[in-house]
Amino acid sequence: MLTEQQVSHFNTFGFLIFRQLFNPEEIKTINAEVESRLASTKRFTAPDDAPAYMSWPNLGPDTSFLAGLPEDPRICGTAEQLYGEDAIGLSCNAGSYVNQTHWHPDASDFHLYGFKFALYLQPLRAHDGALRFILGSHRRPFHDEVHQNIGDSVQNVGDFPAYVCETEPGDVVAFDFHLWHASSGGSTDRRMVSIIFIRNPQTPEEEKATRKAAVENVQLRATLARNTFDTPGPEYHPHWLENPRKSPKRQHWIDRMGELGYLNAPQPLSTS
Amino acid sequence: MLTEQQVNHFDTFGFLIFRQLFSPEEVKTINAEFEHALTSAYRHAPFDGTYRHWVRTMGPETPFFAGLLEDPRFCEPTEQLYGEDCLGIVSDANRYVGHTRWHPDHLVDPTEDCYGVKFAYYLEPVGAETGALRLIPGSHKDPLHSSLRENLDSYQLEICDVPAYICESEPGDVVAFDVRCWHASWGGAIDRRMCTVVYYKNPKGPEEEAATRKRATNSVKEPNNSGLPFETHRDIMRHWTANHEGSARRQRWIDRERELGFLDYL
Repeated sequence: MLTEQQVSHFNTFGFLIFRQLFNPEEIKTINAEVESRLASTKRFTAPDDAPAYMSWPNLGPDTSFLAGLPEDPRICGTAEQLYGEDAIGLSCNAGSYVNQTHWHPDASDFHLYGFKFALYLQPLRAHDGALRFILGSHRRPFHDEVHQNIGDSVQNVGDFPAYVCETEPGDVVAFDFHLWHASSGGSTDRRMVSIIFIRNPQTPEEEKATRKAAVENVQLRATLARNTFDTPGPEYHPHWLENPRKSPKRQHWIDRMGELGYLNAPQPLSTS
Repeated sequence: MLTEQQVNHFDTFGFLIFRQLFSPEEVKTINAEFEHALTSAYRHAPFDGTYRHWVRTMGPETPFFAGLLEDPRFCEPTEQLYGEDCLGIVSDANRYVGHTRWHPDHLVDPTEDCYGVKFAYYLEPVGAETGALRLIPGSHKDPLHSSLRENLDSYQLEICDVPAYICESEPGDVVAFDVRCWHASWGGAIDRRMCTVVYYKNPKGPEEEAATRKRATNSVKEPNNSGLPFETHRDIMRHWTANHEGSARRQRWIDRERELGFLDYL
């Protein structure tokens, strides 16, 4: 349960840090599950000269701890407090990142609301890949001013004034989709688990924006799956969709995701 | 002359850093004038770390400092950012004690307060834990400015735990920030030496003018909070307003500041 101050901190700055939300035993389990999935990616099955970004979903029974994280009260309780009791848990992905990440928000459409929990599996500092935020940039007009200032800049990430979220394994950073973020430096295997929630759209405009985001997400995830695996599986594992424990919360998410288009099949690749 | 990129950066984030704006020779002069100005002003109460010392450096004993308001490296960027008729307000020197809590210098509402830019420069290298200026970029504007005013205290965070950008600097570097920007410092020596050069935007329209007069009325009380005899401030400012150099720019400032009430105490 977030305190009133934590909610206000999130609203003011656009993020919150939960120090040591996961204990060392849990981190060991997460590391093992990430390690086993990473071993099945092209990083190892079809290695290229230069390591590339790998990203995969973790909702299957072979990564059962990760698959349960969206429903973990530490995670969904926070989401429900910030984005409403009917907030939708969309995913639990993991990624192996390579070098720096340029400045970007996760969403620029202000009819789409949601946030990401990021859990890094290595200690991260300012110049080796720690998340950087432009404080308060999740709100307009500052969000748009930052966009104009940064634009599609390929300047060094460090050229823009930011707060650096240094983290240790076990820490979790939760941040609003609209917050501008980046990372500087970093290794060729910076591992992150991300759990994403969206607000259940409340208005026709929000519904439209969320459906649009769903289409884009389906295509993006399909592209990442092709880049990551020789034989990509489905984004949503059938076992998770079966909801064997009949969790009402998960069922609400599955039903609503289905309506909004998150469970649609990706469009086939263009042959032109 | 600021580049378009620098102007945009300042407008968006509320500050700019000018690395090595002062040459090593100038830093030497600044150090010498600093020591002279503060030592002679506080002859009656030498610095012992119990309270901040500050003095305006616009008198005849600190000619380098006194010229900074009219130095093109300061006034020209200010004219670019706040208009050609902006007002040169003060050049000062400070010995700080301990941390500086989070605060903006001015209110964000232009009908309640005037605004402008402060150029701050430190005479020692300062880092995250040694007194460097911490800024919340973008907090010179709403909604961030007011959100911080309403909520920051309630977070009960140590100064160093409030998310911020840390302006580490070396002697010779200058940080220019909008006076509405939230800022603080953490750590640092008991005798943290920092100097500033401040300009305000010339108010436009009756509401801005009233807000600036309000600021002027309050600033007239400032000399009483310095621990210095009132005459020290008065004599320095009388020298500055005499404008012996015959500077047209300074005369314009003096005339407008008289109209607005900033010099009433003289």
